Amino acid sequence: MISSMSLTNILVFWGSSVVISTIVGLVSAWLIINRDTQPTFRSGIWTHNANVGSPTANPWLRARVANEGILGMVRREAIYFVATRDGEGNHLNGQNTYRLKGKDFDSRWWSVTVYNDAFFLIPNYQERYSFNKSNVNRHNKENLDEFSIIFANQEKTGNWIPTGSGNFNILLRIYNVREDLLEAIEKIDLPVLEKETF
Amino acid sequence: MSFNYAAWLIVTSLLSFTLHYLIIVFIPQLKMAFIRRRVIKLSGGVNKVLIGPKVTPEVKLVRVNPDMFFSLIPYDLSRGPVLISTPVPNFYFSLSIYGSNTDNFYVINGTQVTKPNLDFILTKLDFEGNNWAEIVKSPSNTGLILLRYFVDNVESCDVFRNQLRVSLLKQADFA
Repeated sequence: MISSMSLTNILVFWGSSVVISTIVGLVSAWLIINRDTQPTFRSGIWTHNANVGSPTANPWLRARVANEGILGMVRREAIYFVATRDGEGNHLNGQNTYRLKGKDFDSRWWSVTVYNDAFFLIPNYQERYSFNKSNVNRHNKENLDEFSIIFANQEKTGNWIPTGSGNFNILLRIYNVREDLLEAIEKIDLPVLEKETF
Repeated sequence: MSFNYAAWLIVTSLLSFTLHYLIIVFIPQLKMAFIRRRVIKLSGGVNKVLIGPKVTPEVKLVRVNPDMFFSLIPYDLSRGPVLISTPVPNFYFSLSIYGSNTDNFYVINGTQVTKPNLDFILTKLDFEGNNWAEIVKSPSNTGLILLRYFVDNVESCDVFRNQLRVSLLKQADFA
């Protein structure tokens, strides 16, 4: 009995399965990898994922972290908080000026660094990309544990980090935070970001 | 005989998910392999130290930390365990080890080292031998060791970075 399906039709039928599954597999993987890492914690503008760098991270988180911030350390050594949007939900953008106000953390050291949308440092004439616990200028002489950092495209006085004119994000690194705070990061007094209007 | 669309849908879905999953699993491996290749080229080979340049925007590593100096060791345990030895500075210092899938499976900082020197042997998971130094077992044969130093000037850092040593050990070393 001769089959009503020619060999060509069979090849096209199953070949289309291979083509479509390849496209779906590639596109879905790309979308997942380039999606913002889903946080396990949010506070104000800050997000944090407790499993970054951890051997317990699922494959999807591991792939996203490899794309956005490879070679991060486990939480015991460093905690990372990321800000990509302001308090109103808008992307942080160099067309605006922002001020980050905070206090030293109960930790060994901290730093605040600015990156562009591709997660690379933003070239600037001043060669300034971050401030940290050791080099931030303390303007409040009565409370030397306070700090204030400005993010803007145009030069500002004080602890100013150039942002370029496009979207940017801020990474707060806190090293060796007090041990009991590791399981209670909601108690960490995170800095507040204000968008300055003129 | 007619087309079995239900079978087509099931097969296509399974193939899609399989490809998706393989990409997801291999992306970190590929990223780590790419980084290792760059480091190996600069360090002159596996199990050799690369003293990192000052971090600038030209260093194309996502979210690289501009506040630190660093050293890198692309390790390869296929020929045997490696002994890592470094003096411990009095400023912030940490040593992190990443497997081939980018997992940070080991980290130690200077405050956790009780001696002037940090010495340990990096081995495969199935290693057995006399422990004349601390043994750290790697889940993969290859990976990367990253040492971070936070200090104001490179001269203070290099006093310690230049004393970092990596030695390939033989079985006889554990007899």
